[in-house]
Amino acid sequence: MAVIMTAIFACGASVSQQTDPAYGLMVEMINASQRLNYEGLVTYEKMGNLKSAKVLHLVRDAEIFEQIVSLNGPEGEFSSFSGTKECHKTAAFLGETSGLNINNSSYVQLKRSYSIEAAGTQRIAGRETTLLMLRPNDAWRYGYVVAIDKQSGLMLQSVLISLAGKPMERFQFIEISVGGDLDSMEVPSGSINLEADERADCKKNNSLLQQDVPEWQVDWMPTGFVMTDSRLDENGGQYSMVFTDGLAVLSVFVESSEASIKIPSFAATSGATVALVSKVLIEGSFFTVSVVGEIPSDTARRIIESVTWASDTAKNS
Amino acid sequence: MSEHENRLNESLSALMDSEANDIEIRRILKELDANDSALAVEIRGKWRRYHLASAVISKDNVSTVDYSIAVSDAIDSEVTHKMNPLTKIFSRSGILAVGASLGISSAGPFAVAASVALVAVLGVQNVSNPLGGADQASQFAQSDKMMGENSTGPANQFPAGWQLPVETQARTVSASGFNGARQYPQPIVEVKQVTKAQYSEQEVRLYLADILAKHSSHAALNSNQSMLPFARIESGDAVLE
Repeated sequence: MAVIMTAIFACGASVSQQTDPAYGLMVEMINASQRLNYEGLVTYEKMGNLKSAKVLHLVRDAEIFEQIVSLNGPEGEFSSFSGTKECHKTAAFLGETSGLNINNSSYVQLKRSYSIEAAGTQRIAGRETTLLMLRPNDAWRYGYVVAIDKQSGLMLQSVLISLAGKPMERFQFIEISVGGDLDSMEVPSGSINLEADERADCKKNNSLLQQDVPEWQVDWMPTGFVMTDSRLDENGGQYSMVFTDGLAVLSVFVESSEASIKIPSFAATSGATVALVSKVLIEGSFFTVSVVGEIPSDTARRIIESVTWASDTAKNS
Repeated sequence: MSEHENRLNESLSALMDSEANDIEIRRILKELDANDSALAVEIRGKWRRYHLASAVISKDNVSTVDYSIAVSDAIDSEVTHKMNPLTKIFSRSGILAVGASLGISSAGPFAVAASVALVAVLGVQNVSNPLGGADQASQFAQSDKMMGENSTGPANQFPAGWQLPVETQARTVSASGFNGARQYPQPIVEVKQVTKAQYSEQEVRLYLADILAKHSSHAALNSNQSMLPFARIESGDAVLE
């Protein structure tokens, strides 16, 4: 609790130092999602399909519990305890160790990728919100329109805008309640999948950005994207890397040559998400390299083409 | 009547009698491609009348409605899988499930065969689908196209809601550009066949579901967009064991 209180005060101070209204809103949005308890109903639209779901978001001590239960179509539930604040990698990206602040230089960095401006108000889920437009500064990423609740600072709507200026997906609350009984509510049990050691693992991983000597590296990334995580999965031999520019997130996976035999090259898209799977030949073996993210497929293709075996480059240099 | 027209008419008769060769089919398609030309209109009319006559003679049902444009639109908006003809035969007989994306050139006899199919469809007399149905189908596909930049119709080997982007599909129509209705110019990427392994549909699905789920949890940890990444997960493949 003390941690949270300190954090709130800390962020309050940093907001007051800024005059840029968009900056204040960004700070508010990030902080609100990491300190408030809320539940509500959301809709998610892509390609003419509408999904509805019930969400629950609880912050307990240093951990965040998130649960989303699908309300239409096939039954499904997704819950996670992995949203531990220590695990929130954007904190690392945004350059603050407290995990709850974004500082001036990180905002400048975000601004290098997007032009951010406030764009009026809108009523969503019965609440007044401020619209924030984030236009990409290049064609390597998509744009966003987010609506931020004036009262709580929570993001109540996010629309992803294609390069052609068309909406590709829309996530929107239709009902939300913040705080109240939720502040003292027990975290639902039985739906938590992550074991304690996995959570500890998450903390450990966060302490150092790179755990292992990277086996694979990506030589090209759009401006502003930084690596926030890389790890080698012990069982599968899958090497994964995560990159973000503060809003868009993309994952790069490299499969072992044994696992690669079963996977063909293919590409698939769903709404804004693209999954590109291709093969690279290293010393006579094929490896599967995949890029998944809410990015244009040209971006994914260029990234995939730039993936190299780190040991290989080390040898050459 | 010019020599060219004569030749076209002969080719059309030959096609009507299922005796046209590749060159003759190509000649007709090329002429039809120039949609507005007087000759194209004439050929279309003739083709329709020939079929009408043949239907009357064989006492089939006769319809005066022209389905050709609706059918052609529906075909244009249909996803086409890049498929080796052999693979296609295998998958039909159930030997091979996922054989798509194998490197075969889209030109050549296969393309011509597809073109013939298209022409043959134009002349179909007994379309069981009412016109409204055909229109509706193509409109749904259309709205999908508008929503995603690269997406077209459904592709059954992927989880619900997942589609093949245009650039990995072969265009099975002839290189002369009969498929002129595409809305976005897309670069055609050559999909190279890298191994001779055969892939099981189940494994491809599992792999896609696996990397999507992992990406979503990465996104939840890394983006500032609250629970949005979780909403992206298809509930069918996201539920953890």
